[in-house]
Amino acid sequence: MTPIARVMLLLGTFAFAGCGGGGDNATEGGTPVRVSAGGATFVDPIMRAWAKDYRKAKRTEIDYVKSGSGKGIGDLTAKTIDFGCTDAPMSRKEFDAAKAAGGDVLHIPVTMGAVAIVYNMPGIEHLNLTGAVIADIYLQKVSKWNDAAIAALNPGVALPDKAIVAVRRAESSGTTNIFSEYLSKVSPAFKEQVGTTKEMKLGGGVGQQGNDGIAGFVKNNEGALGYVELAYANKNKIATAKLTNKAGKLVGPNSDSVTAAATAAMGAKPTAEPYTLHDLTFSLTDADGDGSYPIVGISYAIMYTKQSKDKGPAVVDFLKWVVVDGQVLAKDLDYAPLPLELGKKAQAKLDGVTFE
Amino acid sequence: MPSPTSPPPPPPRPAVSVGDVLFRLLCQSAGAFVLFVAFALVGVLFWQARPFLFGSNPAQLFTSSNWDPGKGQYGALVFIYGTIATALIAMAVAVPLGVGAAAYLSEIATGRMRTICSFLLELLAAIPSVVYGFWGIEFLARRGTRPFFEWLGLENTAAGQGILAAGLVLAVMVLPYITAVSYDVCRSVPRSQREGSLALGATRWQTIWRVVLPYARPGIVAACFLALGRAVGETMAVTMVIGNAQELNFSPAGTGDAIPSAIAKILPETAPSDITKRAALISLGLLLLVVTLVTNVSARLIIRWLGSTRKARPMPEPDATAPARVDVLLPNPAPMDPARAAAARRRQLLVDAVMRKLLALCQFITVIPLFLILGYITYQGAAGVDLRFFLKEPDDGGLGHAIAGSLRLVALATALAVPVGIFAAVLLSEYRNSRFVPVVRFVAEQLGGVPSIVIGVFAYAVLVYPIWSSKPWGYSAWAGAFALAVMMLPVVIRASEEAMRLVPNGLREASYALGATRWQTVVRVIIPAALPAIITGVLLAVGRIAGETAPLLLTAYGSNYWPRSLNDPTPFLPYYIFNYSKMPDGSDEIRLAWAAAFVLLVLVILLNVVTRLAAGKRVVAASQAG
Repeated sequence: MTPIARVMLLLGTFAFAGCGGGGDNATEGGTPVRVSAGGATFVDPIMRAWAKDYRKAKRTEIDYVKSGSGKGIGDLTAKTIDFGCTDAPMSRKEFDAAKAAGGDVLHIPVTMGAVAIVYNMPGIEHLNLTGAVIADIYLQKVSKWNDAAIAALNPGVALPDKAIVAVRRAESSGTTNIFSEYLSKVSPAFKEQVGTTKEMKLGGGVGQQGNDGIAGFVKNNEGALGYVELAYANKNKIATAKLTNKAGKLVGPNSDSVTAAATAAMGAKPTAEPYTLHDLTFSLTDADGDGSYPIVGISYAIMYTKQSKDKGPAVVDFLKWVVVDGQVLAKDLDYAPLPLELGKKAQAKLDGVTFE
Repeated sequence: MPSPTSPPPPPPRPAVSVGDVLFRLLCQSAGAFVLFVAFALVGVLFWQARPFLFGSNPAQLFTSSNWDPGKGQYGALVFIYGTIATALIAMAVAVPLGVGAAAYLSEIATGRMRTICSFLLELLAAIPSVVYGFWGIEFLARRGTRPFFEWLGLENTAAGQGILAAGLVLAVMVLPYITAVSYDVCRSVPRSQREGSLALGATRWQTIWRVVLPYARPGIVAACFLALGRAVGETMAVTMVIGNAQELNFSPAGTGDAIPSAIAKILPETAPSDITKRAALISLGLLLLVVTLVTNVSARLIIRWLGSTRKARPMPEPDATAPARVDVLLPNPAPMDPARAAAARRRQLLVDAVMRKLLALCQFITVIPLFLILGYITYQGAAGVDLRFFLKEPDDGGLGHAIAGSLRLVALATALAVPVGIFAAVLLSEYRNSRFVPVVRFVAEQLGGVPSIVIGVFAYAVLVYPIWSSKPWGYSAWAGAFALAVMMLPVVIRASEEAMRLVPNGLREASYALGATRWQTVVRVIIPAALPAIITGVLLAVGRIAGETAPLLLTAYGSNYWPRSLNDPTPFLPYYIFNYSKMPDGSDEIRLAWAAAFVLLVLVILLNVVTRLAAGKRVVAASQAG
């Protein structure tokens, strides 16, 4: 029994005291502030990069746990995290619930990105699609790779007679919201049957959790087609489709085509919910302009305007850094930097946060 | 100075001393705590489910397959069908295999074979469900069911994932339980029964089929019920391989969803303010709880009924007149034609040989998945394990923080569960005549059958966002450890109680004879004597919770940094297996996931081997509380 007890004691000591093992900076002047955050998987790659840089610079640990926009909103409303991230602005119902729980909620745009259509079909090196065809694929009206609708868009490509496995998100997702918003704009049938939503209700297909879940499934399984934030497609070297935009041009997802879409779309004042509920929120899907990629979205950090004294200042400082200085990371990670003007507006918003 | 009369006997010791009263109180409060936790669990779930259960249309859970909370639709038939279908597939595969394997182990296998096979089964039982899920996605679905469906020409939209894959993973998971319990039951068939049958000229197979299995049937049925309860409540493995469909698909190649999986996916993203959706999900949790309770209680009732009928019907006394009467009533059969008799015998021997091989094959098939899992995960994961893996955070390509976090959660859970468990076990074993005792034992057994996701929901409602509080307490190591402790408690109680009951009564009597009080006897004599077995039980429980994922997603949340305060979100190793398992082949994350699965597997297996070496005892049987 004694040896076992000794081992247990040792393990216990490691578990409780040994946690400084990797915290190199724990030795230099006090413990860093740790901010608990979570939500959208859309921003996770860049959020991790920001957190890494910011930790070195400011001794603040941004502990971002990706889990989907829906959970970001849910946890923020429950106040179990310090700030959340979502790619879909809060709906009226969510906004009201949050206001009842803790007062006004700020939406701070942190980055913009393309939702890429990824596919895995050996033999098809380049794929062109339109929004209407994508909608039909998800509605199961187009179910084979050699369907006439796809063949018409891809002359000269040998399309195999294989089933298309349409992959969607299994949980409440802001990326899905951007995607379904676009499809609702271009396909009346999709608008009627599914609509703009964080959780698409579809027959058939398969659900996967997170942008990483879809990326993994598409990469690993022949015949699959899905939608992910561009960073996930490029990092994992998954083929992406070019889409026909509103101006009728074929455009692939990349940082520039996102910026083009944003420039075109941000000029107009949003007229529909949920964008009218919050400042600094924009709908960027199906934008005008020759170079605009049609499925583009903004990821927002959401936080209460009333913050606690211990964590609040760290959250505000971090987000102020993100919206201007942090944007230099965007392009390398396949996101698009926020326009400087928008970043400054966001900083001004953050100045209005109160601590108590 | 001799006294004229013998001295009066010393005044009898007071029946109870203060220490005894306090000790008894301590044990009773441990027992009461177990009851309290169990009733609180049911109460809290019921309270949270109330807005839906007493809402406008609670029956829609069973009547509609349209789950669309945004539009107020809460039809759960998809989840219910998925749960039933996967459980049925699992039982259809696991029951024949498990019973066959048990019959082989009990009746045919030699001593050495038996030791090896039962050891392998124990390992199979110890593999965490998230590892099963990971293997299910990467191996079973991609290399097993997908080519199978393609070969059959069935349409599967999820690359092999779906109801069938989930059912098969469940089958592998419940197999060790069915085999272990059935084996125990077969062993308990009296030797005389077998000898009688063999003496009458029956072959081995005839003895197994006509004598042993019928005798053991109630016990085997009970084993199946226990396994069914487990299959129905399983969360992670099913979530990962069932395909997450949104509509009913009765095709054998179809995708689906299951109740625990739906709760694990939807509940975390449901804000506490979204009362109806939350209540609908928790009603599903309650349904799950009721189903597992019913299966578990039926299993116990069958076992008890079995015990009582055996006792109630003693062997009839041989009746001196009977043989004569039989002679009168039944004429001796005419002797068989020797040629035909020989042919019949040959046929019987052939059947016997074939069936023996078949039973051995059952056992063989039962342990194949173990080698597939161990082999595949070692093949994929061993290369990824280096020093960096243990010492760094994910930013630097390691998961050291998660290992530290898991150790912390498990250590804290053990510290919470072991004292309560041991004192409750003292109550069950040493204060047996209290009327309180059977209740505590029964409730503790039922607590062991509660699905882990339901325990997670309970811990969330008590420690993360307490239902009585207007402010959240937040995700924390405490909440995670509490959930794990609730899962550990029944295993610790059962193992400790059995250990204490095995302490020879002579030791107790000797201690009392020397004038020790009750608490002195328990603390100084019984617990030390039972300690090795108690430690075995604790290690088993540790192995069970080390790979637990579902309740921790709701309570400990996860983190990217070294764990600091017990009040903060805490990282845990299985989280990364679950989360990174979805990543594409060749990514850094999938490498970490494989490495994490490998490390977890090695840890759990080591724990089992150590336990086995230390105790030399069959472990699956002792973990039956769970």
